[in-house]
Amino acid sequence: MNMLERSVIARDLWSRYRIKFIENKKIVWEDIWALKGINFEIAKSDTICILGENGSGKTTLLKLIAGLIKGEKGELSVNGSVSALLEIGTGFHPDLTGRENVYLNSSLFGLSTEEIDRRIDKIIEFSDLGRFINAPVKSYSQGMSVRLGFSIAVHLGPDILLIDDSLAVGDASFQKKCIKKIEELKELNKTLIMVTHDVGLAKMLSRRGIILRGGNLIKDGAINNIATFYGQTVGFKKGIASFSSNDLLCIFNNGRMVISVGESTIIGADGINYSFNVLEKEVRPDSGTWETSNIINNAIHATRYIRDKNIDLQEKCIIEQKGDNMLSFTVNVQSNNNVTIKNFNLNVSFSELLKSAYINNLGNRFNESSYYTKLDTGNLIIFSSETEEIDNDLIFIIKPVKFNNKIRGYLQKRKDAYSYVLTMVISDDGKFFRDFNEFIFSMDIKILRNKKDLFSYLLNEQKEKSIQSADCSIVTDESKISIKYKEIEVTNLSGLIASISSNSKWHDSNHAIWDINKVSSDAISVRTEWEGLPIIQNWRIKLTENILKWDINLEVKERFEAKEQKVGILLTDRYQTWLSSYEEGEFPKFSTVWQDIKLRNKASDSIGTRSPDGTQLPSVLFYIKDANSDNSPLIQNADELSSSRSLNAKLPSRTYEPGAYHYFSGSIELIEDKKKIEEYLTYHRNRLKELRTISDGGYSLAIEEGRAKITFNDIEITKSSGLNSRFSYLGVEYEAAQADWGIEKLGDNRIVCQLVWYGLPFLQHWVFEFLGKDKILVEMFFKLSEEVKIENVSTELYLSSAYREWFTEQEKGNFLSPERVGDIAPVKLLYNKSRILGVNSASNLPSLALFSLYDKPILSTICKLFKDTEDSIMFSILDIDTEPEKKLGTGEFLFNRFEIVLQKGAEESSIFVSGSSLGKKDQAELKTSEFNFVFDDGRGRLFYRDTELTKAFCIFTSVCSSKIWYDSAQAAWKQISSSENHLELEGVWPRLPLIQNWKFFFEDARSLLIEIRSRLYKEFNIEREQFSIMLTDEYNKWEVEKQASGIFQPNFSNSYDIISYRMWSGKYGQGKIKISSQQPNLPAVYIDFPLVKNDFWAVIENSDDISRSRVIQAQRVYSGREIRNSDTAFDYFKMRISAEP
Amino acid sequence: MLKKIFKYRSALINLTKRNIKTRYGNTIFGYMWAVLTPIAFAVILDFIFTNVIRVGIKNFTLFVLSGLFAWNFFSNSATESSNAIINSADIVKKFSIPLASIPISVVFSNLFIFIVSLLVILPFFIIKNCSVINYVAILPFVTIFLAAFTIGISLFLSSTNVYFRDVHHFFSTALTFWFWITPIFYSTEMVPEKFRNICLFNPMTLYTNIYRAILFDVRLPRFSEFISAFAVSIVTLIIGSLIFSMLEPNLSKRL
Repeated sequence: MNMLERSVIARDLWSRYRIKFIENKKIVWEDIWALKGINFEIAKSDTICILGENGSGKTTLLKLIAGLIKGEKGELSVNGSVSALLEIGTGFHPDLTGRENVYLNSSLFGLSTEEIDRRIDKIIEFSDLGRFINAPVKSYSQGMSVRLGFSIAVHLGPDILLIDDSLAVGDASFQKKCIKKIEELKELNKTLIMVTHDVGLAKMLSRRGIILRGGNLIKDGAINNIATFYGQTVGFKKGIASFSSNDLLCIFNNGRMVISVGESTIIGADGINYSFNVLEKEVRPDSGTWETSNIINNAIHATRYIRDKNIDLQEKCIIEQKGDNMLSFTVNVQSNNNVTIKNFNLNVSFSELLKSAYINNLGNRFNESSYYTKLDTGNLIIFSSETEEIDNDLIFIIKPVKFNNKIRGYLQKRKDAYSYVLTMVISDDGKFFRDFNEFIFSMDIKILRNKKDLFSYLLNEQKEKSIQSADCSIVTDESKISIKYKEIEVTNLSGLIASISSNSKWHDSNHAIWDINKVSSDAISVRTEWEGLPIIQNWRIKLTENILKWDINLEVKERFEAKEQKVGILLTDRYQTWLSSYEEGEFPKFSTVWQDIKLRNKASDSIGTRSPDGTQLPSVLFYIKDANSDNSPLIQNADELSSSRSLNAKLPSRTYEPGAYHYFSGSIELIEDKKKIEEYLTYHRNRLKELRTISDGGYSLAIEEGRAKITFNDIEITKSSGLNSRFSYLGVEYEAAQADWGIEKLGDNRIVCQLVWYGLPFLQHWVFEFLGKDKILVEMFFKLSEEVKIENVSTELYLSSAYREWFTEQEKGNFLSPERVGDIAPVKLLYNKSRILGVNSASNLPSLALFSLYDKPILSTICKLFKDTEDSIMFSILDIDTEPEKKLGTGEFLFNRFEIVLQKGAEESSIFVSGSSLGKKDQAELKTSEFNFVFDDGRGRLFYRDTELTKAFCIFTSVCSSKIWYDSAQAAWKQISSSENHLELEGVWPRLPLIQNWKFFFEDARSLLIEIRSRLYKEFNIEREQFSIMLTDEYNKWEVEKQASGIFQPNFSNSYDIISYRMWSGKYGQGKIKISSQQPNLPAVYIDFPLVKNDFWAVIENSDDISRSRVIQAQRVYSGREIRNSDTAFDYFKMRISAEP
Repeated sequence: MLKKIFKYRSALINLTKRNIKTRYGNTIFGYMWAVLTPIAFAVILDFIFTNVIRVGIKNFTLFVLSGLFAWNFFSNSATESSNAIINSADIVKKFSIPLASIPISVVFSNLFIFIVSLLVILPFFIIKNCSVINYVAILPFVTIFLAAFTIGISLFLSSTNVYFRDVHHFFSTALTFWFWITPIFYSTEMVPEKFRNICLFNPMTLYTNIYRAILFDVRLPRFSEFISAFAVSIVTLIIGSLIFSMLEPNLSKRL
């Protein structure tokens, strides 16, 4: 069927009625023009609905088309047979039967009897009247009449079917049947012209609509538009205005804007409307009287005044067409006095045609479960009907464009339907606008008909806000700057972001109000006015090749303190490996909190992520500082929710005064070439190494974060952390590896390190210096900013486990059969205060010795450590002090000073020579004619006529706490007083709050009395105490007066406490213990324990095979429940040693 | 107009049927009334004119009947059709049939009754004089002339009555006069000479005289009478049709 064929053509059609008025008994005839020059055409097989209020002339028009009446003026041509279903069911003669009426009615339609005969059965069947067809019509119900009437009309086979309102009469099922029949007729290419008030029916049955009003045709177009328009404007109310162009129809109806396109109403129901509160008064769309004007084509200006005692508002609502299917909606509220406005809400109710919603792009589908979606000026809110047919889609885009405050929006799906309601809450961080005079909100609305258009629209939107260079492009959006490389997004979420923490609250740039401008083809400037901080950051982003230069200037309006400041990028979580100039590592799994990646080297001026294998993503390098800045790198793993990798420049905290500042300069480089990134890393690592290494001969010392490394001919001598400092502060133990290291090379042979522990009021300085080619001097300092007590300060040196032999000043041994206690195998030293700890060269490692040059008492230990993969040897020097609980004052204190001497192939003897001279040992002596007593750093040695009776630890004490033994040789000793036959000393134990007071004096020439008092200066638990004397193994007999006697075994095992070697164990004071020997020069020794408490017992035993001595011991075991009070002597012990030649 | 009426001939037929049916449809005797009415009328006339009023004319009842049925046909048709369009407003407003069909259908339905009546009383005339049969062939022609005349008058009345509702009332009143100036209860010869012209000027006189000549006088009507009747009917029909078609376009608006 040719669409150009017309069923009906009306040209300037006029129709008049002459009405008789009887007024005041006078008869006046008046002409009423029912139609006033109507023009329209109806194409063949079109379906059209004539809408209009009563008296609008629609029935007249129908009658004209039906040929029932003739117009007075103009032309009307109707092509084809017309069947009019006017006032269906009324044309029947009540006395005739249904069947007779069918004949009558049909013939009145112009059908011949034969034609009626042919159709009668169908008509009767369709009418569903049954037997009633042969009953007079007067017995019919109205519905039956209508059915019969309709049945006749539709079966007449007209070319043009005219239907009026009466279709509404039948019951629902018949109505459905009618509609189905009409649909059938439509398919048979019949022209359908209907008149109705039922907008729903009109929408269902017709394609096109005409609105008649007062005899004029005021609108002609797609039925949905027409129906919407009719629905909104019926009744000619005030405050209604509309315009349309092409497909688009826009109606403003008293504060509500309704939009429809083509056959679809997009924004229906309450349309787009807004409400707000002013001075406790709620202003809603209908709370005032709107005045509308259509001064310009395609624009509506609506004005309203809200006035009462305190309020004087003028509102303007302007709807303009800005282009093809594009509208702008602006609200401007002006106040003549300063008032506060609250809860400005903009509501948009969408038609259920729009099935899905997206924010900004099609990748970002609106999630129904996320009730709250942040929206910003410039955000695109996209709705789509998601039809299968590409060209019949319906896409509706809202873009808030101008606003001086924040927008928070949420989309909601209506509970009872599939449609969306968009609510935008416009507020200032949840607060409201105080003292405003003018308030403007504006948004653009764009309507598209297919996805292709949407793509090009989005592309265009992007282009307007993006820059590109080489493979890299920067795409900006409101509060978002993303970086793309070859169209793949490298960034995540807001991309570039700056954050400041002030008053323990974080503020982010993406919550600021953004003003983005494309400065040139390769540069973007962003002005960010921050929320909650009195600052404006001006960003300038310039793209050259694949390098993005990022500068930030800061305008400060009020003084504020920036506790923490970050400038960074959020990268996609497809990146797995982070890197800095000197390190790299894997990102951990996301957790519920943000995680800082610990960097050993804080000096790195660039951080990045490595291009993941099998992806197109480039490596990213973020250069975090310019020449003058003090920024440090910070790599973070975002939380599960954000799941991004974050590269940041951490700016030092600072208090800003009002003014302008240069805030940050940095750049971001995208590198696709994997080789290039390797080169970068190698270069930086080598350069750094160079900056942190001093060397001489084949020896070199390299410092890394947490690690001081000594190498010989590139073979590492040290292990793990190399040199370590360990101490405890307020009961917590710290070590060097936990500190932030600052490393600086001073000259060719000096390196200074600064170690800072987070939260501690002190730091350490380490100074390394090469003294000649094989000697390194190490000095370690504490630098304190307040007086504190630092305990258990030790220095550790970890060495390669390739070393096999150790030596000290007094002893030497090997690591061949270590006795392990867990992971540690401590070397049993007889002299644990050696100031020299060394290892003999092994394989291609040089000999190494540590010479302590520190003039304070030390305790030295050698251990072999067994770690999972790496065994090592550890030298440890523990600082011990005769003054417990000593606080260090402020300032710088040397706490260790030593030399590391290295000699290839040398033995210990030659090392001793090359080491610096050691300080003299403290020794005190007490003499009688026959006995000679020497106090030697925690052990008492007894000589008889120059022959030493004691051996190994000699006379010593030991305590056991938590199953660990501590002996007096470890303590720091000082001499309290001395006279000719009297010596008093005090020893302070390391790691225990124990102080022992030792008194020696000779009762006579052959009898030494020892008094020992212990006291604790803190509450502490002591499990056992021992007072021992070790005698030379030349003694071989023992005897306890009147009780027991025996012979010492000549063999020693590697343990003290094996029962079989225990010779005797008994209560004290039950007699003197006599130890004697066959040697003529050795006197028999008598030991007794006068004035000793009850619960002691004595033990006589052999020592282990290191000490190789006979041990006489007084032991006491505490129940463990006893708590030792501080500062009282908790124990007292007395022993007498006398000799009998 | 004729063409359109022809096109909608089935509408005309059905309207005619409707008129007849509605007249007799709900009665017990149904179409019998079409026969009973003229017979009853004849019986009453006969009783009055033989026992009450003595008229000098022989077989006066048959004399009256020979003209009365023609008159009844005309007057009923005209009266009914004057209101026909107004009464059929629902049809007029709904269907685009040629409106003339409505008064014509009224005439047709009365014509049907007239013909039935004629057929009912024809045997009485034949009994009276067998030679009536010789002239019966002329009756259809006269009837057609009368119908055409009636249609012309009906078209005029039905259309003008829509504009001026007085027409119906005026015509009803006028019919009484018209009845008495038509020679039904008397013959033309009985009219005094000076009034005879008025009587002859009445078209209905022509038709009654022709019917009476054939049925009662049992003779051929005069040729001049016959031609006049034909001419009058044609002229009336044409004038009526012209007026009707002039008024037709606005009729439905006036309802």
